[in-house]
Amino acid sequence: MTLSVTSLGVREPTFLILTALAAEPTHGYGVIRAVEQLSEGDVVLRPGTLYGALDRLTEQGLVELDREEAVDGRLRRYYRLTSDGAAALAEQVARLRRHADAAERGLGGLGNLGLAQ
Amino acid sequence: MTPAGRPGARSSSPAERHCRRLLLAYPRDYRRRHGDEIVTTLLDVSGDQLPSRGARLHLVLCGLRQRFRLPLRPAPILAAVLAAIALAAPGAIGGRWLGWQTAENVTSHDDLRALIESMGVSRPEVYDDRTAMGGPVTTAVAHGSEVPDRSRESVAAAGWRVVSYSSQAVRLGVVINDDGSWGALGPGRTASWRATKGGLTLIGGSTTGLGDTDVSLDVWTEETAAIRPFTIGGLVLGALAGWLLTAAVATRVRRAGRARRWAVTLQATAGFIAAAPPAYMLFREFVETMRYDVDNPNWYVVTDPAPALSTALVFTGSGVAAAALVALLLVAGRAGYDRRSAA
Repeated sequence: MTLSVTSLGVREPTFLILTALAAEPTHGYGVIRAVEQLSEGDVVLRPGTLYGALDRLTEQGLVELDREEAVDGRLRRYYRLTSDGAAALAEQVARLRRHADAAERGLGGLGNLGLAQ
Repeated sequence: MTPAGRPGARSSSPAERHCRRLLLAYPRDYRRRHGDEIVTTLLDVSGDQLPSRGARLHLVLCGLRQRFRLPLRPAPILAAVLAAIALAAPGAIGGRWLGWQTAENVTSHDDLRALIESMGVSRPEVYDDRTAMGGPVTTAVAHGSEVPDRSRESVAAAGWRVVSYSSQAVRLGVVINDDGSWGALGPGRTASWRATKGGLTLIGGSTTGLGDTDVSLDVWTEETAAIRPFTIGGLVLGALAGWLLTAAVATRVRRAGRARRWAVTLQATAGFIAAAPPAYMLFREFVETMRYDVDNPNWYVVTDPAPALSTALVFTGSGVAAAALVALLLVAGRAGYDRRSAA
């Protein structure tokens, strides 16, 4: 299943979760830490939010189970991006880049008019 | 799935046991799929300590939200909306019934018989009924030989406060001619009264003359402050129950085989069609309840009631809808069991 950028949406936590999983398969706590680092502390996921998002992304075919491990008798489940997930993330990155470029051009225009500080 | 976190795998800490209790907010199917890893992550985040109060509350709210979540497809969403509407109707009437439990008990049959007999008319017939907003009513009618009207004294003696009373002389008539014309007109009196006691209202009337006395009494319970809020509360709870039920069924069947999904779809369709007549009638009662004017002179007055459906249609619809629901739950339960077994 290939999802468009529109169906993926632009919610920041979802984008950051996909970004965290793009680097390597990661377990829940690893995703929470990675998201916090990627957002420089702006986004702190809680387990309830994370697993709700992972469940939804799995249902959409963007994320899948990589492996399970038992550490100290506790289950760690690793997730990875699917190829659809990688494509959707790449689309999202391109979209955000276009928006950022447009914003930058706009700010440059303000500077030319002497309005930018 | 690994055995981690399962009873007997290893001894669990108090923090872990607490986390597992919090997971009860989630649907069972979700707990089975993600419960162990959520607990692991919670304890990772909290450093094996009991998570903060905020984290615990957030987890519970996420779990409750998960219970309402539907697959993002038109059919489950439509089914959830229809189920919410269908169950809102009985919910409202159930809430109304609960609300009426806060009201005064209506006068007993024995007390009403005693009241009429104290007026000099014996062997009254007493019935139960319902007001237009579902409140209890007791009505009594009696017919006897002519006695002087002493209704006001009898009603007052029974502890009622008479708020209005009127009596007037009238001409009474009986049909005695073969052609149906009135004949043998004679003098008589009619009386009507209204009285209250606690949260009860009584209206009565009598006709005396030509050797007969007819008396009728209606006693009903006045509306309390709880009835309309309870009715609306029941409506909301019923709607939530319908949505939750659909979400639970959709979760169980979404990964089931095509045949089972079709069976559930057909059962749900049959159930919704069959539930339409009883739901319509219950919504009709809901509207009558909310529009009921407590200042109505009589308990049965309804403004512009919607057309009623036949009792047979409503009962048949209720039966078929209940059977479809049971069959649907059995199939959905079986689908969930198969999926757990496969896992």
